Order: sequence, then C-alpha cells, then structure tokens
Amino acid sequence: MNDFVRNTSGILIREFGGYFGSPVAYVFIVIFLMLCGFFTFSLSHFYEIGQADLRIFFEWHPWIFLFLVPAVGMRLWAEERRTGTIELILTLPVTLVQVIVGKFLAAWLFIGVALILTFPMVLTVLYLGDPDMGAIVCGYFGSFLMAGAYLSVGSMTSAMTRNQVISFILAVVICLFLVLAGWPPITDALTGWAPVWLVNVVSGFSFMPHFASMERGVVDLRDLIYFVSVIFFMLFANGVILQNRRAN
Amino acid sequence: MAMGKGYDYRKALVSVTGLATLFLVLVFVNIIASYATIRWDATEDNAYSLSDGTRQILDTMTEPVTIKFFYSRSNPDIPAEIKVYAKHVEDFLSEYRHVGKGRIKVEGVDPKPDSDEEEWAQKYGVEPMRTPGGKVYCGLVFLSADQEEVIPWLDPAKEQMLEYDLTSIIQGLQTTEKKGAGIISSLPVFGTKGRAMPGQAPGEEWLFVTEMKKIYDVQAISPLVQTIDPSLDLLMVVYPKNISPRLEYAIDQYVLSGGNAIIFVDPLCVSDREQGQQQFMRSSGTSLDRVFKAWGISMDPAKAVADFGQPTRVRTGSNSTEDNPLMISARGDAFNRKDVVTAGLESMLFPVAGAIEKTGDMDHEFEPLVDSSTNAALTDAFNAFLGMEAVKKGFVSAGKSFNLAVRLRGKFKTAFPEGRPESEGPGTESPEAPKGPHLKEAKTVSTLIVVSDADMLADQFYVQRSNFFGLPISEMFNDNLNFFSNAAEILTGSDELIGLRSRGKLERPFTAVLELKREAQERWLSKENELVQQIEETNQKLRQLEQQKDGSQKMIISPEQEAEVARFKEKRQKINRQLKEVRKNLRADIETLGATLKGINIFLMPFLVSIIGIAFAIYKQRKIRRK
Repeated sequence: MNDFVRNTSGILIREFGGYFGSPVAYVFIVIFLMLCGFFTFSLSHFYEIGQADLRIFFEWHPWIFLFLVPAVGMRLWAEERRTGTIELILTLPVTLVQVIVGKFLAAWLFIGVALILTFPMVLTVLYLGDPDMGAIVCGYFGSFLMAGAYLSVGSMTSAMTRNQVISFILAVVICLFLVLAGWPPITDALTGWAPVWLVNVVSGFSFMPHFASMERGVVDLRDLIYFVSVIFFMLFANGVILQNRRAN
Repeated sequence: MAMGKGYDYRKALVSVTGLATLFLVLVFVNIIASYATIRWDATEDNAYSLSDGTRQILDTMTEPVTIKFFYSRSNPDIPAEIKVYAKHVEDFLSEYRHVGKGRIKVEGVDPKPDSDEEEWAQKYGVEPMRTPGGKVYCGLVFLSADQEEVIPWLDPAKEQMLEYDLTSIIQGLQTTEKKGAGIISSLPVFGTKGRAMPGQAPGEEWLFVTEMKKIYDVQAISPLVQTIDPSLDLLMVVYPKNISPRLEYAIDQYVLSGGNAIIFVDPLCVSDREQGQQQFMRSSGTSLDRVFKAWGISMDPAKAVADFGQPTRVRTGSNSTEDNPLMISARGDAFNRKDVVTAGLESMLFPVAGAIEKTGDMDHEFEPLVDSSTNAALTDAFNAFLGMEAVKKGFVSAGKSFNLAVRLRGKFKTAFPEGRPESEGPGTESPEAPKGPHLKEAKTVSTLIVVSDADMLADQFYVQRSNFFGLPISEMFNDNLNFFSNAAEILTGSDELIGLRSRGKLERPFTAVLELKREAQERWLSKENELVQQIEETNQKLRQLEQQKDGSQKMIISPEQEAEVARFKEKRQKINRQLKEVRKNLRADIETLGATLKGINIFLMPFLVSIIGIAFAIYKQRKIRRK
C-alpha cells in the first residue's frame, strides 16, 4: 500500500508539474475562466437576476466541461502512445494501475486549480449580498466531482487511440450523451413517447440529475456513488485497453 | 503477463467480459444505493430539508398524490423574481418526491400559448400573470383519486408558507373527511352582504375564515343555539358580545364534553361597526365572565393594556406618526418559545387588547402564549377613542407583563352547577330542543386558547392586499394568521402540521445593490424636492407681481410679469432637464457596479493567469539559456 501511494504520488507530482510547463495549460485555464464569467454574467444575467448564490454559475459547468475536460484528458495516453514513451513508462518499476491513477489525479487536480481560480465569483457574491456558503462549497465539490467523471471518460478514450483529436471527439461524444440523457429538455421530449421507466433508466446514467442536487447544496449518497462508479468504471476500462494494447 | 504475437482474441474477450461484469456490478450498486436516503443538506437553514412534520405526514400517507407544476418556462419574459421562485418550488417538489418514496409524483407542465397544456391549466383553475410578453403560469395542481386541489398562483411573498401549504394540501387529500369547526361570532366574519366594513371590501369574508375553509368544514353557529355538537372538532368564539346565558351554557357544556375551543374576547373591538362610542360606554366588550370564572381566568372588559415597550407606529389624523401603546406589536420575547403555537412566530399585532389574569389556584395547566412587555399598565379601554394624551396621562408602568393570549388544558368544571339556565323570555327561545344530559365535570381533557383581542383576526391588521399585473396578491405583514392557524391545528389534533411555517426564505437579494438603489432614490428625492421648491418660488413671484397691479391693469400683463413668466418658463425647462438627468443617473451607480464586476469576473483572472504563464515561460527560457 505504501508503495502504491509513493509511486502514485510520484507520478502525480511529475505530471502535475508538467502541466504548468506547457502553454496549453494556461490557455485551458484562461478559456475556462473566461467562459465561466461570460456565460454567468452575459448569458444568464447573473447581476440582473440579483440573487446572491452561485447556482447560475454552476449550471454552466456541465456544458463548459463538455469541451474543456476532454481537451485536458486527450493527451493523457494518446501522446504517450504517439511518442512511444508508453513503452518506457510500462517498463518502469510501477504498476499500470499506479500510472493510470497518478496521471488521472494529476489532471483532475489541474482542473481543480482551474476551478479554484473562479474564486472572484465567490468574492463577488460575498460583496453583493449574504450568500449561503454551505451551498457554494457543496456546488464546488459537486462540480469537481463531475469534472472527475468527465476526465475519466477522456482518459479512457485517450488510451484507445494514438491520435489526440480522435480521442477528443470520442470523449466529447460520450460525455455529450452523459449530459443530454438527463437534460430536462431531452427527457421531457422523451417522456412523450417512451415509457417512463426507460426514460428514468436513461436519465439515471446522466451527469445532470446527479449534479443538480449538489449544485443547490444537497449532498446525496447516491450522487456520490454514481460519480465514483463512473470514474471507477472508466479508469478500469482505461486499464483494460492499455493492458490489451500492451499484450498485442 | 503473457506477451503473444498477433491479436489475442481470448484476452480481448476476457477483458470485454470483465468490463461488462464490472458495468453490471456498478449498475447494481447504484440501484441498491437508490433506495438509501442518506443526504446531507449543506445549506445554512437546511433549506431543502423537509421538516419532521412533513416527513411524518408523507410517511403515513396512503393515497398517492400527483403534483402538476404548471410553469411557463418557455416564456422568455418571466420576471426574474418569479423565475427564481419557480426554481425553488421545483427543488422543493423534488424533495417531496424524494421523501414520498413513489407515493408523490411530480410532473412539470409548460402551458405554452394556445396549447393543450394551457387549456388544462385553465380547466384546473391555474391563474396566469399577464406580462407584456404574454401570460405566465406558475401554479400547482394536486391530484389524488377523485380529489383535486389547486394553488392558482405561487406567490413569492408567501415562500415561508410554501412547505405548510404543500403539506397541508397533501394531508387534506388523504382523507375525504374534513374536520369540523364551528364559529360563533358577533362580527361579520363570514362577510357582510352588501355592507362595507371599514378596511374591508363589502361582502368579503374575513381571510382567516377563507383559510380555515381550506382545511376544515367550517360552519357558522347561531348565537341562538342551545347546544353545541360535541363531535365538532373545534369551536371558535370570536368577540362574544352580549351573549345569552344559554349560549354561555352551551359553550360550557361543549368544553366539558371534551371539545377544544379558541376564544377571542376584546375590551374594545375596533372592527365592530355597531360599537359606537356611546354603545361602548353602555356595554362591556365581553360577556363570558361566568365560564371564565369556572376556567380560573378573568379579563376586565373595561381595561386595555397600554404597552409602551411594544407600541405600534401609527399615522394620526394630522398626518404625523406616533407610537401607540394600545396597538401592541408583540415581538421576540413576547412569545412563549416553548409552546408549539408560538415557537416560530416573529411578530403579532393586537389592536387594543385586554389582560387575561389567572384567578387563584387551579387544577389545570395555564400556559401564557403571548405577553406584553413589562413597561405596561392597564388603562381605560375607552382612552383608545381619546387619543395618546389620555393614555400617557397618569401612566405608571405596572412593572410586570400582562397575558395577551393563554392556553388552558385540563378537566374543567361547569360554570352552571345548578344546571341549564332558564329561558330569558319569549322570543329568545330557540326552536331547537336541548340535547344531552347536564355535565358537571369534564371526563376528558380539553384545551382552550383564550386571546384578549378579536381585532387581530381582522384582515386589515395582518394582510396587505395588492394587485400585481392583474393578479390579487396578499402579503402577510405579521404572524397573526399563523398564530391562529397554529392554534387551530393544535386543537384539532393534527400536531404534525405544526412547526412547518415561518421557514427561512431562500431568496438572498444583493443587499449591496439594494443599498445603492436606496441611496440613489434618496438623492433623487432630495433633488426633486429642491426643484419642486424652486418652481413653487417662481410661482410665488408671479403671484406677487399679480397682486402689485391695480384694477385697471388686471387684464394686461405687465412687462415685469412678462419677464418673470419668461424667466419662469426657462427655469422650469432647466429644472425638468435637471430632473431628467437625475433620473438617468439613478441607475448609473448600479450599472457601473455591474459592469465592473462583470469585467473583473470575465477578464481579471484570465489576464493574471496569462501574465503568470508568460512570466513562467520567460523564466524557464532564461534558465535553459543559462545552462
């Protein structure tokens, strides 16, 4: 176990440091912050609505993550496979699980940093009114967890191909399904002709209903289990794919 | 790990099977978890947690309920306030669905213009708000078996009552039988047919009766009855003016048979139209002295409590304001926080209330519910007509608080040990024959709530009615009605509903913006006053010039006048321009703040991140070059 933690954290630190060495990371953070601010203020009219909470801000996260997180995830494995460094990694005295977890956590942490940098939003509501900090902290937690689920999809698709663009597109398509399946306009349209249980099953796979309650300040065990399950399954699939590639 | 040449199909198959198994296991785990109800409400006031009362009611419900939420979500012109509230309602409904475990279904309906959905909304009686962009529906319909209930319009001002409203409707749908309540009143609480009451539209029923009818089967009991049906769940006596000993006996016997009652007496009932000053001097406000004595309480009908610790600011005839100690605004410590009736209340208004006193020892419970402050004394109730000076004159604080509302609980004894009082002469005898034996002592416990003021039930003292885009909106400005409904519920035995109301508001406005708005408005007002005064001065000058002229010049405008008129016109134009300018600037501060915050949130952080990124890149490059 100690070995696992030591090796994983070693990989994590190396990978995490690596992010800030490349301009792509800064571009990612800049785009993320600008989109968050723009959508919240200009499209959702945060200021005009006049409510000192961040729900409007969090409501955009599933859509912003949809494109940005696969962009972070796409290089996780595709890059290693293209340059062939994957062979090198796998010859190191670390297990595949450690590498997968380490790389994943580093990318997740990086997205976490981007999320933390939205703190001026929190200061804004604190200045403007008397926000419910419990709900805000919960919203950030939910958003971070959801970002992890997006990233695990990106990590998995990245392992499938050596082309980053293909990995990105695949991840976006899968994530799009995971978002839309539970998006009220889609489920409302489905309820018209599909049986209710089917709609419920399909929307149960979606990020949206699981993020909805966290976004307003309620942590439900089921939502936690859901996100952890998605992450676990995608990373497991990630491992299986890499294992197969290595075997062949 | 075996390394094979070529594609290892067996291995791939094993992997795919493994993945599929894991997938099924995870789906299974999620399904199992969906039965768990472990939730943590991270919000400050547990805003999304239903109270225990609601949970109990939902746990014991037998009839499934479908809640249809009619909300025009596709209308782009919904006022922001309604949008925010609709979201809260939706969240709240999802909590009901969650706790209801399948017995509560929630459906969202968007009644677009001229759609079938709109027709349903109209059929159910959901009322739209008319906006320039079209109709906005925001109402709820509850369906259960063959019953239906409607909240035609969800009023954001009643947010604190939302849980109570929803829960009481759901509970009401569980049974077709409503609890029975009877009201004896000498005030026109059921509405006056055609006659207008001060502050009351003609013919309109008092709001508390309307609210009561939602939950109870309410009947008016004639003051001529000889007996009150002991199966009645609740008896209300509102301002029993000059009631006959027969009726007093009927009330006595009803209580002894185990019935619960709420009694509102009053030393001076300002809502009683018939009670002119003269009549007031002749008759006392209440006439339940006999049963009160048996219950161990008394209230001097000629005395009112003057409470200088909790006065109400009122506007006088001369248009100035004064603090009136006879109009008691009970707040904070005035309420008994241990009693469920008053635990959650914040403010109540008692226009001219008496003091309920305990007379000697009693075997039953006596629980004060609402008290005056200690800076209070008893004064002649008649002083209410004479004005503040009369009240102030000779006021010496009694140094103790007086009970304005109390709760009595126990087995009471009759106030009529000699039996039913004789008839008071021909004409007063009701055709109805007295029923049942005479009870001397109660066999079961009853609960009574006695309030020393009846005006607190009059609409004008707790509700403000206004019109919002053609929709009537009632806004409660104190807890008088909450006190009454709490009391009624406690006495009808549905304890679960207690404690649901007066929840915190989920709305969290931008206080900083509101403050800016207030400041701007103040500036605008002072500027406006200044300018209006200038206009007035100019007018004054014109009048002066007019007076200076002699009779022959009356019809002719003098050159001075002409010049003054020209100056006046010019000045008025200037003033109007200035007013326009002020109006334009009114929102300027707010808009500037909005633009600044928008700028900071969209550009500041990205800018800083870019600078850091560039600085880091330059630093790294230099480091490489140095090497």
